[in-house]
Amino acid sequence: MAKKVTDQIEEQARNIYSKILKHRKPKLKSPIRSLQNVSYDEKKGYFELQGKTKERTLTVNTVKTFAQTLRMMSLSKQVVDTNDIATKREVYYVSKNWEDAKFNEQPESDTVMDDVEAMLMVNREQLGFIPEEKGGEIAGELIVIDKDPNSGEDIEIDCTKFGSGAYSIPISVEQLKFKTKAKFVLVIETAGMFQRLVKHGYYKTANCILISMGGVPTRACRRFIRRLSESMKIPVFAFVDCDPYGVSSIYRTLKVGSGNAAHINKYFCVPNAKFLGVTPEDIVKYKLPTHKLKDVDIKRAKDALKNDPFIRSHKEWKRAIEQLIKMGVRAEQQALAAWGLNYVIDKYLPEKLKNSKSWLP
Amino acid sequence: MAQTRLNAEDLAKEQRSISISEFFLKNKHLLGFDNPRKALVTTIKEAVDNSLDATEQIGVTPEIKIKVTPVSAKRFKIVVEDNGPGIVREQIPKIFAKLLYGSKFDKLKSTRGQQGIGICMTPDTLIPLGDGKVLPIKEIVENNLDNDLFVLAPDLKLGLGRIDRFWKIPAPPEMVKIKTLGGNEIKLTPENPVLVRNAEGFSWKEAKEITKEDYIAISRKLGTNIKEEKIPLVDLLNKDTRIDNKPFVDDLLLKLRDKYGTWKGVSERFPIRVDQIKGWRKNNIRRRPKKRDIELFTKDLEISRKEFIDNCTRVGRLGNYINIPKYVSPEFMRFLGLISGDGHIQAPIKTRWGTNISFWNNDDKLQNGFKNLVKKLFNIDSSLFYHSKGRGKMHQFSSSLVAEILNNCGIPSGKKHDKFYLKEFLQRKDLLRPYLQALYDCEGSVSLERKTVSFMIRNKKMIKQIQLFLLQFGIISRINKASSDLRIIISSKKNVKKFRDEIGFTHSKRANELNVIVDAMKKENSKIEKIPFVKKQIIKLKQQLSVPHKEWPSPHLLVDNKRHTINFETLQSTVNFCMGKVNLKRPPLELQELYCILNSDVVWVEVTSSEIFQYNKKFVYDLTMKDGNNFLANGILVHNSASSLYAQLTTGKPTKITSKTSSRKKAHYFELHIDTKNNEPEIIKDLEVDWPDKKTGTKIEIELEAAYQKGQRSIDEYLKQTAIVNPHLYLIYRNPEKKTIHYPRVTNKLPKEAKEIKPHPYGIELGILIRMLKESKHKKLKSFLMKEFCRVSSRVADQILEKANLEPNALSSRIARQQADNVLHAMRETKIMSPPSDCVVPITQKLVLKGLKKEVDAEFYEAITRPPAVYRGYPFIIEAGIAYGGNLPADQQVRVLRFANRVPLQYQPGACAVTKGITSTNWRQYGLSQSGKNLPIGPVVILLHIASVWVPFTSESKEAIAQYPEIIKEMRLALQECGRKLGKYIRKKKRAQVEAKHKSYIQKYLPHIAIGLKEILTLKDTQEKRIITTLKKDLEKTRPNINLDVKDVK
Repeated sequence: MAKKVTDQIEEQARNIYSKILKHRKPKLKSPIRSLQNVSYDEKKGYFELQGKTKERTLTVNTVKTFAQTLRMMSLSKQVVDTNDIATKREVYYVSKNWEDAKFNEQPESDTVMDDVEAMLMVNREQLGFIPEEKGGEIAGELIVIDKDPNSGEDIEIDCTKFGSGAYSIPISVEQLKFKTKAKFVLVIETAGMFQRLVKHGYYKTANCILISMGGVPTRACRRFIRRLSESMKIPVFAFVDCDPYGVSSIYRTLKVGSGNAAHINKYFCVPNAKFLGVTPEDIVKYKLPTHKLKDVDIKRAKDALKNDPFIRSHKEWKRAIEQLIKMGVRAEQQALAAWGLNYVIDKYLPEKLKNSKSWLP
Repeated sequence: MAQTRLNAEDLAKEQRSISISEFFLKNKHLLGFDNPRKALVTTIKEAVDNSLDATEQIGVTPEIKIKVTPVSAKRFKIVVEDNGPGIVREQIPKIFAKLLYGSKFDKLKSTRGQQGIGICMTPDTLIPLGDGKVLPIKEIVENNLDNDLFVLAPDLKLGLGRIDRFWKIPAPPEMVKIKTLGGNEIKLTPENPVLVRNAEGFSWKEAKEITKEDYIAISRKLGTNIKEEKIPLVDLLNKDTRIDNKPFVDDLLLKLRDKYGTWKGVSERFPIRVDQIKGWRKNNIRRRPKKRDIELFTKDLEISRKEFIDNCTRVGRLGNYINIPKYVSPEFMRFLGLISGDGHIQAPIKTRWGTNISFWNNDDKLQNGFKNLVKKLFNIDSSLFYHSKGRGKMHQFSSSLVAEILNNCGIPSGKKHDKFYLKEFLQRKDLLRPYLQALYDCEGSVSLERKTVSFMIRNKKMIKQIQLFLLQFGIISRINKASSDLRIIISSKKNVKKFRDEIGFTHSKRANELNVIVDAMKKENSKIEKIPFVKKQIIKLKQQLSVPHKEWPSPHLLVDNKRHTINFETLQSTVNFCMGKVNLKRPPLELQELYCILNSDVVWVEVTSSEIFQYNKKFVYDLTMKDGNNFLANGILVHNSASSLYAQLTTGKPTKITSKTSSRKKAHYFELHIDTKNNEPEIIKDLEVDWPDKKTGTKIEIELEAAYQKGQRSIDEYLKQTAIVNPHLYLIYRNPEKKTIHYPRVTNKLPKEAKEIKPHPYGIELGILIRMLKESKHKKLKSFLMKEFCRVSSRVADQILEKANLEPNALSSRIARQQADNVLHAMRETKIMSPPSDCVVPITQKLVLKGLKKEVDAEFYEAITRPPAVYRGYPFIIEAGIAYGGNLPADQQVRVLRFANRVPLQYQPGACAVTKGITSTNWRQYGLSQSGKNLPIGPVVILLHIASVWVPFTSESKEAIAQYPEIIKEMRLALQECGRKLGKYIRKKKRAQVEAKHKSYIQKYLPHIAIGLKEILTLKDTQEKRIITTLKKDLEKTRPNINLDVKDVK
């Protein structure tokens, strides 16, 4: 796989070089990375890139990005060739050596990096670049089999043995293997709720694996859950806030991937995930305390209804979001605490798990 | 230029004599009152303007050399030399005024500078003099009366100050009338400052700006310095009055005969005949010598004046003699007072049959008093008459001599209401007391209800006089108007009490009533004796003294509500309280101020109205004080005419003028000095000197006190701007720092000479029209209209007259004010062709451009001359110029150069039409940034020039152009035209900048493309270079080349 990336980089470069020599305008082609250029096929279960691509021709206006892209490709080649890795932040600092072509802020370098990634249709890690953020935390009936970084021997990590702490998903998860008898995986949005469930040993009573995403799940987190659920054949339930962000950003990214990383969604999504709660229906049913939807929430919800292929292809979701807009309120996971701190463990989760009709796809 | 050459003599004929007063009047505005920086600019400005006018008039391209040398820290010597026609001796005094005056304001001609008016008041304004007299300013000025006036010192005490100079100035068309709650009234030129107190404290405020929010200062009392000189009654007699004192006359005659030998000798010595002397020596009652003769005799014999007076107590005519007292006595003044009040003198005076003098009053006591008085004073018996229709009774006697005396005291015969006016020599406190008492006995009344003493009279002049008389006793009064009656009212305990103690009534009933109201009155101060705008100070004092609120004597004062006036007493108690609390060695400023106000000699009264009115008298008057800067006029404190420049100009050094009028003649060197008494320049030296290398010209050397500063309003800037708008001028300027600056000439072409035009009917104002009507040579109204105005044809004149409802043959000098007003309206309503515009001379577009290029370092220039336009009947031309970029600062507001008839305007930009024209133009569309209606920001110099026969300045200081919509519109059109071209240039320049940026991009980033490719493909250095060169060539091919050449823009 590594070989393939450097080949691709060289091929692109050669292409450009020959065009220059022929006095033809060199071009860089990459797929457009946005929700507008993805399609959703329920059978496949993830966002798939459509054919739209953008072409960046070398002109006076594009000369800067063009130069930066080429230098980024060169850097990637260097990193992969030397079997090294570089974090996104490190890449940004490396660019400081590029004189006029340097990046002023990290988002600039991230964007160019994403461009290269999409252009070559590879995963960022394949380019030798890794993110800073961690993947998520796990507690529950799961044994992760990893390799000791020094000796290369298998080590078994028991995720019930972390006490009140948790196991952190590593940045690269491809080499991991699993052993589990758990009945399901519960993916939780907030660390707070995760802590509560861990503290009260919920994974024991319900025989499950608890995963905290801490907001929008990272690629590693998504890939970990995907591999876990597929290799162990256990269902995945998402438990997030009932607001447009929880639904259209967190849950949707978990399940079908993001527009921005559409070229790699195939691997980085969990198509068999189900939305356990909190649903708009729950707000009514459990009489949850609510907050008013902010203007940005309403905008995000309307945008999802209009542009998000995932939401559009599920009647249930359409209905749910329309209901949310109509109610004009949102509710957090923690709102369940209004009925007692452990109401979520004693009443809510068991009820929801039993009643599959209350789930959303 | 085919122009007939004029010489100095020709020009001299055209010089209008302009008095020095006018010159100063104009300049003190320009100077402010004591701005030495302005003084330098003004002096040079006037000299340069004059030189330019003079050279242009004789068709010579001007070359002016200016040298400013510091003599000491505050003193400069100015030398201005030109190549004009020179000046002839006779014209030097006039030119001296003109030199610094610079205009001919009676002609509508587009030259530099313009008309001037100043700080002045109407001729009837009453000025109290230090010796107690009250005189109209006209008399003081015209007789150059050497006297003291009341002057307010900075501690608000009135003192006496000497008059330094007298001003009599042609009147402006409009004046301001200010009235106060106390009934004081004054009519001033709009610029005349008056002392006011308002929310901001004290200030001198120009009359036209005074509003009802202001309080003005009127005097509380006048301390007079009475000369205790007795006034002989004989002085009041006409010269032909005969003196009946035979022993005295005999004695005189005998002494004369001894002196001159014979009667014949005497008759030869004096203008008398021998038979006259003989007649006097006979005891014939009808043959008595005249006062004039006796006076001559006593003088000749060196007989004392006292003896003369002592012996002239029986006087008369045609055998009728009466006694007179020797001197003006209190009894005599009482007699005058009674006659002034209720008397009547038969008119005209009949010398043969006597003149009836009557006293009408229904009070017996007064009647008897009158009868006794007449008997005592003149030894005349008067008899009592009853009016046939029962309208009352009178005592009457008949004496033409007494009538004459009364006339000479200012009490006229016949209806006295409108003429009555007590002569100034009688206006002495000691004499006024019985006079006023008598007046009040006749006409005064006491209102028990209102607790006031009032006095009613129909004579407007007199009432003001009485008010000032009362003031001499420290009695403050106010004037009320009830229909045609005027009433002078004394109110408040203090004033009424003073009236009782100083004057009072002899009339017992009124005297009693007076006592009653004085006793009954609690209120110490009259309505007008409240003190305005002191709360701020009191509140500040309170804060400083940290006295508990409860202990404060009048805590209600501490509330800063709308009522800003404070009772005199309340303030007094507050101040007294504070005095006890502070360290008196260093009292707080606020306390000092309050103390001064409390103990001041002035009272603050509310302004009840302030209005501009049309004024059609010829002259206005003013005074300059030697001590202090103000004086009391109609009881109101007004600012005097400043004399700062005068003082500066006469730093002791005379003004030196060298003039050469012909290359064949020798030059003349004059020294001028100003006769301070007459305000006239005088030549004190006149020498023939050599002035080689000079064909003709004038050199003027002046030494004055001034200050030299650089920057926006400096002389440097003024000369630079002058050079811009006078491209035909070659100017050499050596500044006080010994740096010589040359402003080269950019054209040899002189500006076209302006043609004179008559005023256009649309532009005339009522005051001017009335004056023109009075002074016109054209007697009939129709020919007046046709000859004195432009564009008035016979048909137009007929239309105007028809609308005004006047006959074409009406005499123009007999047109009344209302009719003149009708004519004015008729003129405005009649369609009249615009005035010819060839009387306006523009600089021309080409020369504005040249001037700008010469003096402003920029990259883009544009100029425009608009076609002539008209405002209010005056033709004018607007010219605009714009310079952009170069070294001009880009982050500041644009620099504005304002010109009116080629004269730079340096002050008051905010009030000027030019600024309005610029700010009301949308500069954003021309590529400059501009926030709201402000001046745009950018590296720009904007020049605006108005050429007109009559530039409408906002004030006489001629610092800003009035905002007539027509003018602003033209300015905007001119600016827009320039702006469009500027915008085009700026846009093009911006495009070029973007292009340059793009090109620099190629330079910057191409190497990195090469590096990237080189690293990935492990290329050689030569290959890397090839990438760069190939790409560069290919990319640059695609970019346009933008040419920034200015010509291309145009």
